[in-house]
Amino acid sequence: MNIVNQVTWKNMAQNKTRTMVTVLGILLAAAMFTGVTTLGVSLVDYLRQLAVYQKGDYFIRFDYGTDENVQGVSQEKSVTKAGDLKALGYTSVSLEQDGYTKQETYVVAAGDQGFYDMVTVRLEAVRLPENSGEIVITGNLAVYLEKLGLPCGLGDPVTLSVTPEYQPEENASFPELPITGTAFTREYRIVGINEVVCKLDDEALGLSYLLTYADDHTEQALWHRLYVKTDPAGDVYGLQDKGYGLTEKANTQLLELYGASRYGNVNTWIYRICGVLMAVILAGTVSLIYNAFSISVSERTKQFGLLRSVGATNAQLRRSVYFEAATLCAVGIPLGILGGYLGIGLTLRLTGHLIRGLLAGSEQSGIVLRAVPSGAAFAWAAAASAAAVFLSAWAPARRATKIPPIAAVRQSLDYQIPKNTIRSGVPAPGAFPDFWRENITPSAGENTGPLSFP
Amino acid sequence: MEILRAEHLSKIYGQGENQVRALEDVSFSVEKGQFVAIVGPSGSGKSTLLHILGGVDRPTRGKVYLQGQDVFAQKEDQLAIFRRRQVGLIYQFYNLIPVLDVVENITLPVLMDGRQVNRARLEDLLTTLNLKDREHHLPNQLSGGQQQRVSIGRALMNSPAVVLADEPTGNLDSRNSQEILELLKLCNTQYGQTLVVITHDESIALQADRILTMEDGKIRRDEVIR
Ligand SMILES: Nc1ncnc2c1ncn2[C@@H]1O[C@H](COP(=O)(O)OP(=O)(O)O)[C@@H](O)[C@H]1O
Ligand SMILES: [Mg+2]
Repeated sequence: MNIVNQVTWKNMAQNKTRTMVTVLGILLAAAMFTGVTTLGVSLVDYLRQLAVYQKGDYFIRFDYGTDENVQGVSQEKSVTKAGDLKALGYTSVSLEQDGYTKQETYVVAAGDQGFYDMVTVRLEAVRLPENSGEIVITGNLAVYLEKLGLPCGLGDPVTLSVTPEYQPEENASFPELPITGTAFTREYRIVGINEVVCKLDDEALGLSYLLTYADDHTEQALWHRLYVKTDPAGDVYGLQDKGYGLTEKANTQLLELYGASRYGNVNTWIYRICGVLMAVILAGTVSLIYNAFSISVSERTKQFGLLRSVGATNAQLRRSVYFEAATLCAVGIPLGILGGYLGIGLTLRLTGHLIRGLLAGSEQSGIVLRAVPSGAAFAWAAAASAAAVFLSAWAPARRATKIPPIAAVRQSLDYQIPKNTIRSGVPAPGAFPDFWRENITPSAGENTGPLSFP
Repeated sequence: MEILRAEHLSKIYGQGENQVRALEDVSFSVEKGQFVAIVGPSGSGKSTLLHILGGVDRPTRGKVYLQGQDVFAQKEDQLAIFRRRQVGLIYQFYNLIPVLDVVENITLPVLMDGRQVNRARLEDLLTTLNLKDREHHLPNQLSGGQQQRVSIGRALMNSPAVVLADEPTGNLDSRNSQEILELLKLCNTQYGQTLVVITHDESIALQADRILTMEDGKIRRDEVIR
């Protein structure tokens, strides 16, 4: 540590109260900044969780893709996560009722682990399939089976005959689906019952899915549904243009929360509001911390002058004020971030439930707004606090360099200065009156009132 | 050899009716190794002159040359560096940094220069100044005489071209005064240190090589004694 900073350090140690108060000011600033950034990040995180719950944790979905498409996507560099749902074929049940035949067709599909990780399958009972011999049926199918007198409970076997042929009749514009697979019959064990229908947003096909797990014993896929997440999120548009399926659909709800929507981005708006709040806090804290530094510098006016008289350069003095600022930051900012995080955490714990009723789907999802520890939020808070502190220190640091050495070395008994020439607003005793400075540069001529000499 | 020269120095404080002419066209020069005493009534401009010679205050008009260098032609930072290397200042009220101990105060100009402290010179000074057992005392733990010895140490540490002292004994009793003067004389005779000392004390002035008498901002008399 250089000697000028050492002097500063020792002064700080001596003026413990003022040092503590300044640290407290910085701490409060950092806490408020952290509160805002953490709230913003937590809100975005909460909305993302909701979006994932409602649609799935993917940015884009390619439907009716080929094996080559799956291959292609897996080679894309920007893809961070992919889930594959293999359609194995179609199976139908028919029921004679009230004189006519009701027929229901299902897609039998095997999802890989990625699929189950990314897409929310809402179960009414028990669990997801874990191998290619297990299946989750829909509530509808369970009713059919029951009426047919077939076993339909959990753990019961169900034999499905699966064919590769199906064309939706009503939808003429629908693309011709590949019929590459072969028909097969397989006995599955029912491990779970899905909600009434399980269309997985496949409006085009309009069929419910019976879900099994893709492993080595899974049959050949007819076509694939590929769920993809990329980093950065905006890269999905590049993938979209490549067309890894007959059709594709972007998950706009989630993209809006990753700043990658081509329309409105919810997260951008949230962060902008945070920015505005931080600007307000910045203005408030700068005036607070500025005062602390101002007082520190004016209390040390005599010392700055002395240091200059023995040859301290402007840069050394300015740096010593910034050194003081940096030291105070080193203590105040980490504590403030911790405090701010705990504070907002507690606040959300107490009030987080209030927001649940406001957003659609938030109630039954069970997702609550909670404080999320985020490196980015902390970094922004730290940067904003540091900016506040250095903005506050800037003017006092400049003032420190403007103190002429003569102000300090003039012996106080040499002459007396009338009270009214001492600039008001500088609270400390021994603060340096302006007119001395002006005597150094005679051109700065502002009348400073009469002097009386002993 | 001439080491210090003042040319037509004027210093005017204030403006209009409040104007004070603290110095009026003062010119003189000091030989290397000379011990100059400045005397004169209070308010005659002695301190003003000394501060200008030391580069801590600027003249309204005129120039100061130290070792041939035009002092006020330098940029502000150069002037600061010039001060810590070439000028040793001693004041009536010591002007030590209260939070630094004896050794730190003495070595301040060296440390500020970012240079290594010359241990031998420091030891030498501490012994000469009789501060050996006070090394880590703070100024407020020292007597006036001791504090003044520390400020002498600080002034001498860098072996400056000139040592300027403003009533260095003004605040001390006669025993301490004599001790301080002996120290100043010692460095003058032993190391050929150029000295300019303001004093009210005739007995001190008479020990100098030369006496400048000031009055109303002008040099009234300039007598070489030895
Ligand atoms: N900053 C100042 N503003 C106005 N007048 C000053 C200032 N400093 C000194 N003076 C005046 O200048 C004159 C010379 O002062 P000074 O050099 O301190 O005299 P000395 O040291 O001989 O007592 C005095 O009249 C003094 O009051
Ligand atoms: Mg004086």
